[in-house]
Amino acid sequence: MSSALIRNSIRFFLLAIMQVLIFKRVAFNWGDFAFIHFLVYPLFIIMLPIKMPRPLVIFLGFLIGIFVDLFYDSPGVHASAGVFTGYARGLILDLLEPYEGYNTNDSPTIETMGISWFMSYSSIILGLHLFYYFSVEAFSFVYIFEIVMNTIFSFIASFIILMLYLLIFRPKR
Amino acid sequence: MQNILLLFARFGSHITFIFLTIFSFVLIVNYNQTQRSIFINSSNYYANKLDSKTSRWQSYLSLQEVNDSLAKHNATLMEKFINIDAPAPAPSDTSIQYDVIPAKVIRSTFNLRNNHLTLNVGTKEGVQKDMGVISENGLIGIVREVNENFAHVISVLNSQSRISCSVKDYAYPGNLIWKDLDPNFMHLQSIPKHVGISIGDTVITNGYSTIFPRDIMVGTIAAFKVEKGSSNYNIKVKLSNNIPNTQIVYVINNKLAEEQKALEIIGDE
Repeated sequence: MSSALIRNSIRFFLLAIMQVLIFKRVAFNWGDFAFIHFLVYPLFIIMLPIKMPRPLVIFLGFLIGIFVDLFYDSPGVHASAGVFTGYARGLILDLLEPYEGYNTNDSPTIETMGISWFMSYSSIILGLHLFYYFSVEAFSFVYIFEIVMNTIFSFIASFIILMLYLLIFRPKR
Repeated sequence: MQNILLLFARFGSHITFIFLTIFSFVLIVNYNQTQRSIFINSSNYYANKLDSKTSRWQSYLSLQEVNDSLAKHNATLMEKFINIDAPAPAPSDTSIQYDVIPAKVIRSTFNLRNNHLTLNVGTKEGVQKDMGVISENGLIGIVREVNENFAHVISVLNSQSRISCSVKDYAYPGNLIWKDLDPNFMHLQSIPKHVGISIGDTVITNGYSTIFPRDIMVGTIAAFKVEKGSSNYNIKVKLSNNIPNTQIVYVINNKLAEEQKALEIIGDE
């Protein structure tokens, strides 16, 4: 249990630092086309242990969100998205639960859960997170076009980064 | 205490979610300029929407008055319109021949053999017996009985009705009668068969009676035929107005009717 705590704490700081120091500064702008943003910290929520109490997941989502917010100068925006994602993660885990249930106490990984399960699980969470984040950022569905465009392109960009992260660090548990 | 813990164990994630979402939205609205202005503006937007809804309801409640004033306005316009074609006014006190009195239908029948209407105007408004009643699009009937507040009108949809009409551009007078029990059609009789009419021609009043002014639209020709051995057409006329659905009508007061009738009676004798 303590090793899981350490691993997740490290992941928390690693992803948050990467987000605010590297990916915050990366921006692809081609004229008016500014729809690509990299959000990698949702991976922290994705990788939390499956059996972790859900209120705690939500609280940790809030925590990493507010941490990122401190550097984005947008108090609450990432935090609300983190809260939402933490809440949605529980529902998605219920939805994607295998027939015999989850037989691991550790983090969901490609090795333990299989690549197709992990892909659908992480892409749903990332997509929901991005859509919620951009909705809250725009704060009005008047900008639905921008919200959807941002979500689609940022999803592709962020998902590539997440897969690269998993390839590089290869979390086993 | 134990109950609270149990409750939290069951609904903990929902409670945490709701609580933290509210908390972060409070942060967003308080510390982000863009979201703050959007929040303030959209709350104004909904307040405005509510306001405009309320005012729409208010205007709905005042529709009655609006209707009445529009009917009055219509009546003055119709008065002008009818009097353009009317014969030169008598040199006496009246400057125009026809007065128009707006009225509302408060009861009407249309599926009997003899149909009637009741209007909400009476002698108080200047309505008298034998005045014509029209709507914006066509004929309605003739005032038969009148008291202080109400007028009883015999509809043109009546076995007794004989209204003097012509086909537009021809002066030949014909009688408009109601034969079928269909409130959309009447029959025009005694137009001679050498008159070149065709389907779609307009039928108008010809002003030969003292009841209706000239050139009131009655309807269009839907079909016509010549009975064997007859020298007249039997014309089916599609009425231009929908009498069962009429609510606002105009009573026409021909100020010279008495004068004309008196003269005609003397002449006939």
